[in-house]
Amino acid sequence: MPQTTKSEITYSLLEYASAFRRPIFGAPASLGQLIGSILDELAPSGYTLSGVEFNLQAPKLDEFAIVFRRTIPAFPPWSFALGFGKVNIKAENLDWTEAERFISTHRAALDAVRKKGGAELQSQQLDVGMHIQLKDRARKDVTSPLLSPFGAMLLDGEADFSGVVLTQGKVIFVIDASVGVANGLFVRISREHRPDASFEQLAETLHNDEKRIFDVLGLEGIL
Amino acid sequence: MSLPQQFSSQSQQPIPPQPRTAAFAAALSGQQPVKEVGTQPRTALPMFGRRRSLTQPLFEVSTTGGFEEPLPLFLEEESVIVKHRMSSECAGKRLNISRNTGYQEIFRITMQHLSAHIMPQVSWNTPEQENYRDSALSGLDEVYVIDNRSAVAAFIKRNRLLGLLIEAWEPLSAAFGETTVNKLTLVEDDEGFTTLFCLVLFPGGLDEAKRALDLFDESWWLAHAHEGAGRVNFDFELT
Repeated sequence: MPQTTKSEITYSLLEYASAFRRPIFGAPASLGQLIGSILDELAPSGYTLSGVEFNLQAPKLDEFAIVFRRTIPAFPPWSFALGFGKVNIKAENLDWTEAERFISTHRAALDAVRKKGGAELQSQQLDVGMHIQLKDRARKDVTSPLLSPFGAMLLDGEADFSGVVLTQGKVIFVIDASVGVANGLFVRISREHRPDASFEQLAETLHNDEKRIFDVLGLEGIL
Repeated sequence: MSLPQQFSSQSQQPIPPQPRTAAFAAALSGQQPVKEVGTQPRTALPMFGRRRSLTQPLFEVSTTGGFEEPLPLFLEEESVIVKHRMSSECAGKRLNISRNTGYQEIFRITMQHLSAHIMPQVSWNTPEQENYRDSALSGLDEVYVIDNRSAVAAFIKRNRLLGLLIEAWEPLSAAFGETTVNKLTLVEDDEGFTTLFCLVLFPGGLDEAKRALDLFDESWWLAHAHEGAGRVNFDFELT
């Protein structure tokens, strides 16, 4: 068991992206009906009409987006963006205690895109980036076991910090030194999921990934 | 931009010209391109062009005039939020914003002739945003480890210690070394008097730590202690 280190996630950003098999140009519902349906589903989480941005100025159809932003409260920001070919959901500083509400609201909005927009998912990707501040131990000491003596030979001298990048098919784990918080780690978890995977499955996988990273590094703190 | 220009850039890192695609950017900067679901090239447009969690969503700033020191900024989608007030001398000057994202991606925004025409693009933080980002800790997060964040933030705000703590970091680093961990923590004594302690987690021996603390006291703290009004103190903790 590694030595434990008190830690705090000072900032995190979650991004979910799903791509459609075909662009939803021929949506069964009108654009107005589609927007209304999505907003209805997002409303329980504080999304309102004043947070909807409609951008027709994009030079490429692929970049066209209707962005729904949570307004109550506006911070930390949550957003749901719909394009012709994809949906993108973002949330800053999302806490696991909010997971259930976050999932149910955004799943319902995505379902509306499927039903009213005729979208068929081709792929799903979930990325999380976290700045984790270590409270009582130097970050260099926490991550030094990740570097082998062989790897240490790459630098002509002792490294101030050693991180790691691990890939496994369509999975990427990054542990880096945070450039934003003192004695912090920047951890990124990126996974591509099957198109039929549920949000609950995505969340469970992510929770397990986060927990494993905390366990391996000996970090104590609230996920 | 020619190659020599890139390396004479005012920014802290050499920055390649604006790439056309993620793969092109990766080839230029020696980074690995990152696959995005359902998209081909990386674009600069809102929402779908940005994958902020893929890189560290933070920024380093350098200036070519008009600012006394680098200003930390947040870039949110297409807008730039300046956290610190800029002086009127900034008008007409050039501001370079370099995004330091470790090894994944570097991009730069250059605003030339920062004038009344451009200023609407630069927005001040709203009170709501300031609260969200713990404004009392603005600038401290980068240099201090903070215990009990909300209580420390409130204490710093109430006692107006932000400037003092920011100023202290440099002499503290000079005395104890740049790699030590400096932790801000509140300590309440038996009489209920609360003091903000900056504890340097020192990996060396006791004598070495004492010498470093003496050096810090003599070089800076003794001259500035009155600014803390007894509410802040510096000490070390051997690790």
